[in-house]
Amino acid sequence: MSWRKLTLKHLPKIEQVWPSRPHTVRLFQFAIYTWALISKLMFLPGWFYFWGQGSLHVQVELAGRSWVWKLLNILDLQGFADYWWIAFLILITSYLLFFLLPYGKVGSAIIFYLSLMNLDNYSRTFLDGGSNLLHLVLFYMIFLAGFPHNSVKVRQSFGARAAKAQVSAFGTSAGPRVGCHFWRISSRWALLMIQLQVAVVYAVAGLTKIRGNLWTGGVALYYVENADPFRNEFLQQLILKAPILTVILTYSIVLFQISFPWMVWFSRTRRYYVFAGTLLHLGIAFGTNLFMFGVTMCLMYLSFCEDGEAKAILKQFEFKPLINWLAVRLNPNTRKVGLTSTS
Amino acid sequence: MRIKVQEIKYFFLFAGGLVCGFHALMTLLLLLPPNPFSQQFKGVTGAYVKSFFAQDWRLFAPEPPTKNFYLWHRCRTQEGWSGWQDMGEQLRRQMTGNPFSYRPKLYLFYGSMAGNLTLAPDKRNPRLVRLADKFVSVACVSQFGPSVLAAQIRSVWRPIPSYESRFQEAAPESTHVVEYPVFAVK
Repeated sequence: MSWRKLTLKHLPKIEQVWPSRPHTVRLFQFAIYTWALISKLMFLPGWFYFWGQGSLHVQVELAGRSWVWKLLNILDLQGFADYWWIAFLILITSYLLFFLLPYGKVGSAIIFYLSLMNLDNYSRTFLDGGSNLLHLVLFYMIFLAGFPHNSVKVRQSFGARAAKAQVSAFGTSAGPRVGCHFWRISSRWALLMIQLQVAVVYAVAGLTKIRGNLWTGGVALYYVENADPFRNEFLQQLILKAPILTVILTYSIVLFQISFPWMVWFSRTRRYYVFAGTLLHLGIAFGTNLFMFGVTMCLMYLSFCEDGEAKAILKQFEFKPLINWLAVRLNPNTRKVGLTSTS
Repeated sequence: MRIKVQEIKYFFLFAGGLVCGFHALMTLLLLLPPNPFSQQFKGVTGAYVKSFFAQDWRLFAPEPPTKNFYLWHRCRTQEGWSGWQDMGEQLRRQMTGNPFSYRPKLYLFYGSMAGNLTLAPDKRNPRLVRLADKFVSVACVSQFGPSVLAAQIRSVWRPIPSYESRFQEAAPESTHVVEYPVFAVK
């Protein structure tokens, strides 16, 4: 039996063991797009350091680069630097369009990605691991954007025409049926790639750490907390006074990072790993001044949520009155809906 | 001819698997510690991953920082040279504990810029060297106004005391200073 026939035969089974997770997708989209926007808004009060002619920016040579590279570095083109605020406006607009409009989600996701990349590439000297991870994940999330879970809600609130428009939002000639299957399957791959990316972060960090004498010697945290940019007075004093804590925390971090890429795939251990990882990254966010990286990593764990868990979390954030108010303004025939309303 | 739904699903599933498998393999080959397989495909993985999917996850690895870096500067006006100042101190004071502030980013940038200047000339990141001049020029102008004529940078580093000697005072001779030529402030 050929590989194709074998796959076709077992397709229903594959779909059963690897189901699409509409609520996980929606929760993840809400968390990551919102955090990406907040992380840029954080830079606004000090914009003169990051963007514009007088900023701490060094021109990148664009001659001979591909058009994709130029598209991601438009602000580096001659005469564009002072228009960074337009990129910022586009970023905010695409965020609002993504969550408020029933269609054009893929387009909004692409525009959000491009505007964020342009702003970040211009201020590249200030970026950290958190920005790096957001760039990669926002690219994968373009393939989550057309997920037809929204079309159920869209059909309820805006009618079948809007639902069809949303499914073929990419502007392709693909009919809603084919588009629907594409986005359903691409969303599974995209979510898997996001999970793999998180596993890769830990695999690389863990494997590199066990090559270092200070990590295997159990004293690495002492050095981290005594390096000026990462120092937190409280943690520094705690580590100085309690050598046993230094050793336990240092070894726990290495053990966690090495085992995460394997253990997170088992449903029995996943919950414990996600809990331990959240603690670790909250510690990094507030204990080492790497706030953006810490929060980004915490949010990445949402991609490991089961659909039911994501639904329960979304229910806590249901701003039904606001959603309904907006939906009624957009279309008076709207039926009242909430974030978790899928059939 | 009417294409079956199953066929469409199969195609997307298979194509997605190929694309994602290739991407994951390339990423892993580039990022994992050097091994014979990754060495063999270094050129291909570098060209693919570094163009658009560049990433580096060696946070505090293989070793955490073992030195503290500082960037001192002084400015020259019509009246003469100012005293040496450490901008890091000022930046650290401005970090008010608000995690949503941009200031920690500036402080991290200051640290990487100062660290870069202590490296051997061929190992320095030229972009950061040029930015150090710009950073200091902006600081001088904001402090003394447009009458600033020139500025000078000193890169300073001190080792973090080893864990065994963590309660001892650092010896003054452990501070290393490199002075850079005077440059004109435009």
